[in-house]
Amino acid sequence: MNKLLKQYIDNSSDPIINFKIGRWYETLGHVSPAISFYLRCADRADDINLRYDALIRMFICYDKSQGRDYTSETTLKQAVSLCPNRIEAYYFLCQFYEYRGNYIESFTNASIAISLLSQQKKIMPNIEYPGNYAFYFLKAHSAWHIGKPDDARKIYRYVLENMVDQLSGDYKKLLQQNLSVLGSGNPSKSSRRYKKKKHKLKYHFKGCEDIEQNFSQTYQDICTLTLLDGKKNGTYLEIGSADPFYGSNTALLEQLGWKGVGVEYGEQYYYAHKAHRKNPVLCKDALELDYQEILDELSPDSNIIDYLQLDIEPSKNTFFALTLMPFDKYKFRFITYEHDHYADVSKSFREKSRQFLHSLGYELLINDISPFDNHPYEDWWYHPDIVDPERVKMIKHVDLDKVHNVEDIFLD
Amino acid sequence: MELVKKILEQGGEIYPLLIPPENIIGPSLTNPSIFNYNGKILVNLRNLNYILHHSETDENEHVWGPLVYLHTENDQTLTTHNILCELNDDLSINTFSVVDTSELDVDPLWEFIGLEDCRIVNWDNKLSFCGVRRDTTTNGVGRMELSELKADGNKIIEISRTRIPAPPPDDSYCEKNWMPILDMPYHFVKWTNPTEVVKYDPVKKTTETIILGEYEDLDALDLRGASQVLRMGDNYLALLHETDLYRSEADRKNASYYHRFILWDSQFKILKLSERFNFLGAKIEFSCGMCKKHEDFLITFGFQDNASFILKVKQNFVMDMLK
Repeated sequence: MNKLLKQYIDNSSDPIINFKIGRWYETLGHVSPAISFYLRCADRADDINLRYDALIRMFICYDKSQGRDYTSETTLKQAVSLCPNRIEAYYFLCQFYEYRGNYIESFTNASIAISLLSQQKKIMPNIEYPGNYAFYFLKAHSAWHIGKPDDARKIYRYVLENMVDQLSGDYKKLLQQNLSVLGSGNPSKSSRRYKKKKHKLKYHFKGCEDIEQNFSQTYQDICTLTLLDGKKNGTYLEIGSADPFYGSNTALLEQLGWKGVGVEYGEQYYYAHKAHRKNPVLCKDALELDYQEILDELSPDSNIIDYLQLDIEPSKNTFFALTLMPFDKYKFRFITYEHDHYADVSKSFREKSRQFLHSLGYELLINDISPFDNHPYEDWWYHPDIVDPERVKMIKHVDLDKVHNVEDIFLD
Repeated sequence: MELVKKILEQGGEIYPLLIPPENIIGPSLTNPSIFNYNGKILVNLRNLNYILHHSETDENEHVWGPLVYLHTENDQTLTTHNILCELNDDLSINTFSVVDTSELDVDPLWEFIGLEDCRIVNWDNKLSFCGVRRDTTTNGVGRMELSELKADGNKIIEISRTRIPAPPPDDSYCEKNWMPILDMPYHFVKWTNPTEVVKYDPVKKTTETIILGEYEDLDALDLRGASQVLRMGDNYLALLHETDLYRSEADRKNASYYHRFILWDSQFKILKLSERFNFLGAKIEFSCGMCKKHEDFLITFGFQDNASFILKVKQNFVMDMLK
């Protein structure tokens, strides 16, 4: 400091020296004198970018001082008015508004900044700017809060597809978490439910004429019945039960006399099942259960289970749950496995699950089911030893270069 | 003139006065006072809850003006705490303690809270602050107060508080920046031109004017108090401040402060006034203290109400400015 102070004393109007002294104070945590020197810099700098930098640092200091929101905000706006094509002020404005729940402002500023990203040469140092992807996160998060969940989903997927390698570990986790939470969208938007009065099933099975409607998001229940020719009184294990009816893969099966066990961590869903469904649901962590014990109780006389659903988030957990199944004792005729490849930041678990199931003798029935354009989220599997090959042949759609819209497969 | 530049050219020294931010209450440490207490160098730092935003060129005015006091938005008070420090020989801070005033505090009636711009004195063997308090009436009437301090372990506690009336008729709105005369207990230079010296009687609790000089044409703006008044041989020396209050082009409040040294004779007749100066080139700077240490003066000053510095300068240098 003494050296800096001497330089300052030699030329107290030098904006760069004023900036450096401001930085010295700021680094020590003394925001008030830092603001003085940054302001002196901004007042005296001919270089508009230096003036901008000084205003940004003033904002950081005002923000740290807490409780001076109006000043913090207007300091950033002065920076924007000075250099509207630089992005640092937008970055802080986005965060500022997001933190205060003003999501429309955060969304707007993120949108402006994203439009300017290609013009940026260098970002000022020491502002904890993680990278351009930060604006996409800020925009997506705000989008969700202003009623644009599809925008949020699209932005996160854009990040996943275009900049995932740039993300820090924390942002990767955040991306995975947000993609998992947002899912593939409102099922009602993505596929129509089968309704007897409106639709015709392409593949008939025993008793299909008695089915008024299905419940699954993407025809998992119809596929189960098609593959097993309308089997009644079957058995299932459902990992990730969620709502007892809306999007449920087992509600229709239960109505046809199937016995089964569900696992659901969410208490709200658990109580809903308890109130409205016959078959039991365990309110447990799916990664901590003894599945052999559960299946022994469910199916004491047979080592064949008709249907296994695996659907928990994120992809890593679903895969881990798959590995917990007692495949050495039980075989499953049909498996719907949610790999959530569209939202898997690691892009690894779809392949891992395929290798794993193939190694156990299972075969793909339909790969990469997508509720709408390019959202591959599930693979469906069968065990060739215990299902009718004719029915498999009828349904099978395997093309690893394609995603599959099952509505087109099952409805006429 | 930037005084510090001249002082450094003559071998003087300057240091920032800082204590760790986690130990302060508001964000700003400013307007320090200094006192040589039997060889120990004591400094008081005024700890403020606001940040001064002063755009000196008007290029980056705050929305509210070029010169604004930025409180937190949920606290419209201008609150002062005082932090008494003891310095090391190298003028770094050795110990510090926020002065505990809780024994004597009452609910403030106005929004300027606490004892402001304290000068340190030691009268009748009572180490005291001498500053202005404006929180005892609902309209902010300001009077000088003496606040006696006592060390209790590592703590500094205010043990008595004396409000000093203005001389009769004692009907002014605000009295501040009276300069305590260090070797004349309870005497202050209340005003400089004309020089008015007042004496407070702690028994009768009255104040009287004992010297009132004649107005002199000094080619200076209003001369107001800054440091304490130090005896220099037969004469008295102090730092003054001078304010230039004006409106910006957009008719918004603005100000520049300057300082000067002043030398009085033993009867407080003005002998010399130095040329005016800034310390570090800022338009808002304010000194509350000066003391002697060996052949030097130690001078403390605030920078834009946001920072504090201490200067070490040869006594001869200052006296030469008054020749």
